[in-house]
Amino acid sequence: MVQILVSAHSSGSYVAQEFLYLLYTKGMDSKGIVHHHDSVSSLGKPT
Amino acid sequence: MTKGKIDYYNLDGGSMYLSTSIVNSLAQVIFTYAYDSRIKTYSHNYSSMLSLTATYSSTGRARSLRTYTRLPDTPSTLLAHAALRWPSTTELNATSSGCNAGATWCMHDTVINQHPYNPNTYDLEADYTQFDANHPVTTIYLKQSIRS
Repeated sequence: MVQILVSAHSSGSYVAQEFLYLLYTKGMDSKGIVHHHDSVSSLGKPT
Repeated sequence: MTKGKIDYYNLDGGSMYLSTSIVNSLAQVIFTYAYDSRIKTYSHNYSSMLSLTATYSSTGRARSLRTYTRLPDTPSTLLAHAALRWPSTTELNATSSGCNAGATWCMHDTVINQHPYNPNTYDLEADYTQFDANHPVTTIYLKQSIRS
C-alpha cells in the first residue's frame, strides 16, 4: 500500500490545502505533476 | 491513484482551501497543536485545530492531536482537557518547550522545533533552520501515520 504524508505548518497549511484541492479536482499530468495557474496564497506572518 | 492514500497534518495552521470533499479524499487529516503544562500555554491556533476537527468530524477522517510536555500533568490541565470533550484528541509526549507563559506564538513553533529560539514569540528563520541537540526537529506527531 502506498502511503503519502503531507505536513504543513501555520500559513503553509494554505499552500498544502491548495495543493490537495488541485490534486483532487484537477488531478496530475502523465508525469505526476500537479499544476496550478493561480498565484499560490501569499505567505506572510504565521496565521 | 492518491485517493485515500494521503495523511495530511495541519500543524497549528488555518482552514483556507480545505473542504469536506478534500477531507473525504484523504486517508486522514490530523489537526495538530501543542500544549506545555509547565506554563499552561497552548499553541496559538489550538482552538482552530479543535474547531476544524469538529467541522470535519462527520467524515470520520479528521482528528486532533496535541503534542505535550513530559512534565506531570496538573489537576487544572486534566480538567481543561476533559472539558474539551473531543474523543478523537490524542496526546503525545514531547519535550518541554522553553517558552514563557502565555507565549502562544512561541508554542506555535514547537510543532516544528521542540525548543524554539525566542521564548516569547516565533523566530521563523531560526526555528525552521537551526536544529541541534538543544533544538531538535519535531517529528513525534508522525507516529500517527504508523499503521499496525
